[in-house]
Amino acid sequence: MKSILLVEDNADDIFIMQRAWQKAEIQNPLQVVTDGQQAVDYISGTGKYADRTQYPIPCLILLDLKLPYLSGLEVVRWLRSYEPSMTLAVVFLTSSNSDMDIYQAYRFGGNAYLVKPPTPEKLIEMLKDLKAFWMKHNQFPLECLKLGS
Amino acid sequence: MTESSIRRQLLAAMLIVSSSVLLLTGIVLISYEFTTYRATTARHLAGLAQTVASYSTAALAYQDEKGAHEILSGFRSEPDIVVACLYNQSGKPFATYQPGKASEPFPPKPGPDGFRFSRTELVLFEPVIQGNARMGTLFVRQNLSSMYSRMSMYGLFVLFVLALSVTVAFLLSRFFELKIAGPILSLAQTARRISEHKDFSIRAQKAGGPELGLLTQAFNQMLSEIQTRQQQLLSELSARERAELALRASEEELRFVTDHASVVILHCDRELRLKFVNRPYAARFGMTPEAVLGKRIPEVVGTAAFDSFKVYIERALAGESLMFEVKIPYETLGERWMLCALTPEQSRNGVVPGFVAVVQDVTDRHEMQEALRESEERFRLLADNILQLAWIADKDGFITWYNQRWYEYTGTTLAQMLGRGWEQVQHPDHLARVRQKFDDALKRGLVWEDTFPLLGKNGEYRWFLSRALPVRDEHGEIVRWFGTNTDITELRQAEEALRQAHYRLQTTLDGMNDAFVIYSRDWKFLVVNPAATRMWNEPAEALLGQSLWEKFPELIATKLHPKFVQSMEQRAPTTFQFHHPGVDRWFEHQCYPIEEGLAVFTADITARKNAQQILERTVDERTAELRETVGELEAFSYSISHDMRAPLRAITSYSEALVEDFGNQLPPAAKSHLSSISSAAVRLDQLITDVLAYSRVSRAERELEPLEIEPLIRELAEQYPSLQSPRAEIRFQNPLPTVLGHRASLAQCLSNLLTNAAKFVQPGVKPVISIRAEPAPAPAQNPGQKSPDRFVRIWIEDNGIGIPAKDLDRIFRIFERVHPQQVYEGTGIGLAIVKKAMERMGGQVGVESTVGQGSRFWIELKKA
Repeated sequence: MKSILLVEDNADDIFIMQRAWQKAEIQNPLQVVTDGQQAVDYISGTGKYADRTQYPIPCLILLDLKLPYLSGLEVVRWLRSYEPSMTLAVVFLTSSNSDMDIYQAYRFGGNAYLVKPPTPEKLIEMLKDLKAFWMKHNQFPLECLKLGS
Repeated sequence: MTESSIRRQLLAAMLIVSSSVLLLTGIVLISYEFTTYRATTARHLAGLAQTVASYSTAALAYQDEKGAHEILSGFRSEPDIVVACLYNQSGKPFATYQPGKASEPFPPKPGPDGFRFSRTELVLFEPVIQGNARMGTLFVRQNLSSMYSRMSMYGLFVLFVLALSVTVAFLLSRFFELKIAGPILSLAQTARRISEHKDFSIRAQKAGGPELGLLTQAFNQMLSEIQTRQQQLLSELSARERAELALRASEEELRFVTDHASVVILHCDRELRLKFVNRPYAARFGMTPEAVLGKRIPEVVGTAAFDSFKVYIERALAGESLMFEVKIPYETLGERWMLCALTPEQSRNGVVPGFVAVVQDVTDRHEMQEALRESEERFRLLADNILQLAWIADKDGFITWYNQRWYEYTGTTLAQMLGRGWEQVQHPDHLARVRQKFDDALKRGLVWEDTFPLLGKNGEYRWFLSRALPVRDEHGEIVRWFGTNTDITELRQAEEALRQAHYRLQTTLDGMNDAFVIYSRDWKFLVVNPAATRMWNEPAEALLGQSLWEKFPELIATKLHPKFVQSMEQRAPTTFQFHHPGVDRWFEHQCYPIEEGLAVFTADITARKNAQQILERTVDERTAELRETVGELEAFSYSISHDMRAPLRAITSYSEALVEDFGNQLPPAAKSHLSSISSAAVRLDQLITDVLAYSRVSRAERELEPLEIEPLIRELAEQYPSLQSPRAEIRFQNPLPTVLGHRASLAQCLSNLLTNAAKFVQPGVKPVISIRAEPAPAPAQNPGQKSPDRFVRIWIEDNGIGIPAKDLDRIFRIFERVHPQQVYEGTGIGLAIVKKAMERMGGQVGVESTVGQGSRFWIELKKA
């Protein structure tokens, strides 16, 4: 089962996400990094992330926009410039619904844009939809799988 | 009746008589012969057959065939019998007789007894009887050809006799023709000759019997009678002819004379029937005299014209000789003046049989007189109505006529004014001078002109400019004077007023700070005020009469030149500011095209300009500051959206986690409090969302695009379960138009309005939302800002709780809520967003409501 990487700096949101993850009954393991730099390191296998058994390559990244060190937009820009992750699916998950943010998220190569729901129930509902779309119906490119091996 | 026809008829009569007699005789003869011959033949054959039959009894009784044959051959004596047959008792043929080579047929069984004729044959069945017993039957057939040949012989004979009798009849007719038709024919020929040659001296020859002789005699007698009458007639005719010729000559002479007269001449009888007219008369009506003659006068001239002179004709017919002028309204010629002389004919038994009229068209003379009279009248009218006083004096200056104005002004009469009476209305101070000047002009025969006051009837003097012109005859001698007095009091006053106005203008121009210049059409300085001389830094004398562009050629290259030229040429007032580079000062020029050229006011606005520039700089600075503030505000709202929501989410999530994880250890009150915390956080999040939406719709300038409303609403309804069936129903009442709007803003507005409509209902009531479009009513508040036909109003009507009238104004203000939070959730921003967004899209929003029945929100947008 492929893992999913959550890039989120807010500890509360991580807690909320992990709880909702279970309630939404998503089997894919949720890997978490808390800033943009860590996200880049994770994907490129730098430092401790070289250990792919503990930090497997994800098939999907849930990326916040506002992050320490490297913003979400910078992260996605790097992902698109780095050959192995060029086709990696990136879903932005953020509290902003500003037109500018949405535009830029897609402009830099995001595959989807989700706004964080205000309540846990709504989050669970959204995660169920996310699971159905990305894990059940969606087809990932082969390169994504290659990256994992 | 011609000769040949008589002869032919005679011949025909004879031939018809003779041949019909013959034919009838022949037919009777032949018929008789035919019937008798047939009877004879039949009788003869019957006798023969009886004989043969009586002989045949034995042959039949003894069946002696040979005997029978022999007996039958007895028929040989009759060559016409072609077949005979003997039948036995039982009707079978026993023996036959057939003399010819070809076997003639016979009936197989005997027929009824007796004979029968066919066309060519005679057939006979004869019983063969022995005592009382019938032994058999004999059949005989005889050919009738010999009978027919005999009949033909008869026919030929009759024809021969007929031909013979025709010939005889023809010869006889020739004989009778000579005897009977001859004299009649000669009589007819004579008659024809007479009619051809008109020679009544020819006589018919006597011939034929006594009746014909009598006829010829009567004929000849008639001829001689005619001859005598003709001779008498001829002699009578020649005498009359001569008389007629003479009459015609005299008539022609009369005709010639009258036709060439310049007057109209006519002669008519009592019934007004024209008996004579000359050519000019007829020509007046475009006719020939022949066409007019015999007609009645009213028919020729028309009834209207006739009525104008009827009375004179009546008098003429009463025996009076008249001469008169009358205006006759002709239908074709129009009104003509006619000089008429009517002379009645000599009366017979006291009755005038007719009259002669000599008429002359004197219209031209009349018109001339009329014109003269009118001209005089016009002169009087003119003279009485001109504004001047007018008068006419004789050559010595003795005034004989004043116009009506004179009397009106002076209040005098002609009797008072006659001659030198006018001296009474002269001002005593001026009288001596006026009199002397007038006498002087009379003496010299020159135009007189003077200015003096005259006394009006109201006792006031007014100033008059007086002129008199001598009128001379053809020899150059003065016959009279024509004079006028023109009131110039007002003119003098106007001159004074003008002088004052000019003075005021001059002082104004002199005292003005603005420079004032009038340029002629060829750009010469016509007027300059002192300020202008200061501005141009030249004395007025150096400017006046000079051309602007020649005096200051450096200005041609500046923008002053095209502006001035444009204003002058297009005759359009212009105001513009101009920086004079030479003196580094700003000027405002106001150009007004006038009759003479261009009037220009020029103000030095350098100080104003400097102040303005400072102001502009200040505005720029403030704008930059403001922009910075707005930027900060945007950053602030961004951080609200991003940072403030995270803790809210944490609050809701943790309180929920607390209940989930430790719920069994918490008292109910704690759980309730946690739930309150959670819902307060949700509300705060909604508030933030709405505030951001509000600031978003109110911030950016939106590009408008054509949007279809119905699909947009359907899309929205799919996103909001509260708008879907069975929870709510949306009804589209009519097709919705395409409008100009911003997609996101309009979607925001519609979703706010629709969710409101679904939200604010009594518990248990299913929201029904009707949507319809109509043309926007003419704007009452901002006329001219938009044209009503370009806007469309979309109504969103609900069956909700409605809004009290007092709250209708409040609901569109931000943070205003009409209902308590506990009953209907909301942040109080939704409608403020709608209002703001509609304004940003150039539209409007409004509402009508009845409490308890529902609200009707509307939005107005431009039609795409």
